[in-house]
Amino acid sequence: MSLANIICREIFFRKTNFLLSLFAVAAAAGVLIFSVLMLKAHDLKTEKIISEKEAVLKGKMDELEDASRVITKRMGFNVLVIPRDQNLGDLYSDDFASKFMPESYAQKLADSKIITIRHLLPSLIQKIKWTEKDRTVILIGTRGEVPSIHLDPQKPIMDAVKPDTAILGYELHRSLGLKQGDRITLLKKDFTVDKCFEERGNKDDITVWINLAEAQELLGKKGLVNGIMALECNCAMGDIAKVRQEIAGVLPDTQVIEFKTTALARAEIRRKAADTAKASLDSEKASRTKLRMERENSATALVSVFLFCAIVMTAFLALINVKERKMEIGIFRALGFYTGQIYRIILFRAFIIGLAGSAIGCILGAAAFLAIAGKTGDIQSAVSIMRNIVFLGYSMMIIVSSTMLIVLATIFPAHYAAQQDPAEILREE
Amino acid sequence: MIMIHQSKNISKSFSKSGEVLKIISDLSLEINSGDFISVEGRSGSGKSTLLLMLAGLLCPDSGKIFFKDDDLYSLSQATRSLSRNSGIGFVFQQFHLLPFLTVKENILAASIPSRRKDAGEKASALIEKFGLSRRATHLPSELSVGERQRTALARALLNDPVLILADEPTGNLDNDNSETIFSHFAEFAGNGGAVVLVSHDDKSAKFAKTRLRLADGKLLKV
Ligand SMILES: Nc1ncnc2c1ncn2[C@@H]1O[C@H](COP(=O)(O)OP(=O)(O)OP(=O)(O)O)[C@@H](O)[C@H]1O
Ligand SMILES: [Mg+2]
Repeated sequence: MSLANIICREIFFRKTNFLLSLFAVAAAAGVLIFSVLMLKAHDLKTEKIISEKEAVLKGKMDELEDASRVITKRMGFNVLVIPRDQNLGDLYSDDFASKFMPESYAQKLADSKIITIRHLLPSLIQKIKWTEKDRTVILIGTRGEVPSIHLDPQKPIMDAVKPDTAILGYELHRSLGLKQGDRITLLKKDFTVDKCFEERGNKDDITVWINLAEAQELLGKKGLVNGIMALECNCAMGDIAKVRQEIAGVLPDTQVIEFKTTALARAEIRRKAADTAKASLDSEKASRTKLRMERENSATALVSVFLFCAIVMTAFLALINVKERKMEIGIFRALGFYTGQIYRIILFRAFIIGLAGSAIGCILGAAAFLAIAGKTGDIQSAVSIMRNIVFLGYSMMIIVSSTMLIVLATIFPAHYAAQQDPAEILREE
Repeated sequence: MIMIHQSKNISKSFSKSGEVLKIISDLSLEINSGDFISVEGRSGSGKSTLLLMLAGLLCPDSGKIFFKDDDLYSLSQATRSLSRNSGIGFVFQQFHLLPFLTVKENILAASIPSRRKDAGEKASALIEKFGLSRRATHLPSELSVGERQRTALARALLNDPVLILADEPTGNLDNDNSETIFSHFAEFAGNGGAVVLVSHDDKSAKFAKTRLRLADGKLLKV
């Protein structure tokens, strides 16, 4: 015979009170775990919606890019100004000119009144052996855009590469395992990697961009360039002859070829498309977050009400139980039980109610969640949520905290019981 | 003859709506092993009050009560409870069995505070002795009143007390059942225990060795 026996016997004897308490705790715990699972389901659904949307947007973006490429081709074109004596065969096979011209040509062109030409980019391009890394790369020295006095000041479409820094094409930084901020040595000079480009699928991927002045120094071509790119020429619908004529007027010892780089245009378009996509995704995310918050708020309210009711109800039922057992407590005391044992009898009963009630509640809450998920047809993700640590983890937390709360709520009734004067009780008949 | 229990000049009053009722006044009592004392007195004279004080359940306003050399009311509540559990058996008119425990469990409940090891065997022996063998697994509600009081007596005897305090134990029993209870008390006193019995029952006079009367807060020999 032990206190535990007495507690269990009493529970079976006064089932109604016990079951009511159990029900109150189970309802609160059930609503709590149900809300947690529903919110988790909401989060998973959000993830799914967002990733679907991302996929759709990526497709749309690719389409947009293709369309834009066609459109930009029609709207304007890019030309390359190279020395007059450059053999075009060599140029096309090597992708860069082997003859050189003064860098000042770019400024001359910019200062001229040819308004069809925009964005002038003088560059020194050479295929070199990167002995330090034992590979062949294309080295481009660039000083960024040459300011044009007669055009409206506009944002340069390409910035200069800062001195002592280098920009690496995709294939280079990927295969060499380099990233922004790394130090590299190229033609015996040290550079800091300033940027690593994404894959472009052309020779840019094996290109190193450095500052024009440094390139001229390293390649021994002081003051020289071998090409001036003129990007986004606004000339009348691809009229290359007119552009050639105009440029020849300013720079007689050069020739002009059409230069098919869409990389910049594409980059710009990609950026714009990405912005649009991101804005759309952001608004979706915001609306899902708002919905989550609304659901969370109503769940919190519901759970709070249930929790409050459960605590008040169990405390109240415990008090009723204790009052009903007044005589019993007098007998215990007459038999020589001390007040600590009276506390234990009352509080251990509360412990059982908290533990069993919340465990039952968790099971019922989970069952309700699965039943609802079954109706809406999303049973798989529901099961995965359940299988997930979410259910067990939260159940544990709920069971432990409910049990503690119920025991705490029963301290007053237990105190009431323990403080009863046995003499007083035993006199009452 | 060993002195088991001693009350020295105890007094108790209750105030009821401003009026002070002196129930026990300057009462002294010695209880020795082998004593079988019956206490008589008018209703309201304070017999139950006296028993509760002797048992360590009600503190007197003044005076001291010694049990087994301990000043009962200077002990801590827990120690006093344990002392009562191991040394004093209480029997009530209303039996006061726990309704959700069987006969055997009711008897064994008395062993919880002291955690007696041989409680099971002792309980079985008492069940046998009080003719409750066929009722051991029954709830109090399924027992006759005589069986109920015998169960309560067995519970009081489980921890081998030295003193039994009984407050009108036969008030709800018929003659035969009353005689059985009284003879068990007499046997207990004969074996070196002590019994203080409050009873209106004339038969108690036949069994008690000492008859006292409580009047005006004092005990007088009859
Ligand atoms: N806690 C209390 N508060 C106020 N009065 C009390 C209290 N306990 C007992 N009394 C009073 O003390 C007196 C004695 O009560 P007690 O129960 O001891 O009488 P009794 O001799 O056992 O009577 P009965 O034979 O009817 O059982 C009664 O008048 C009762 O009203
Ligand atoms: Mg009485």
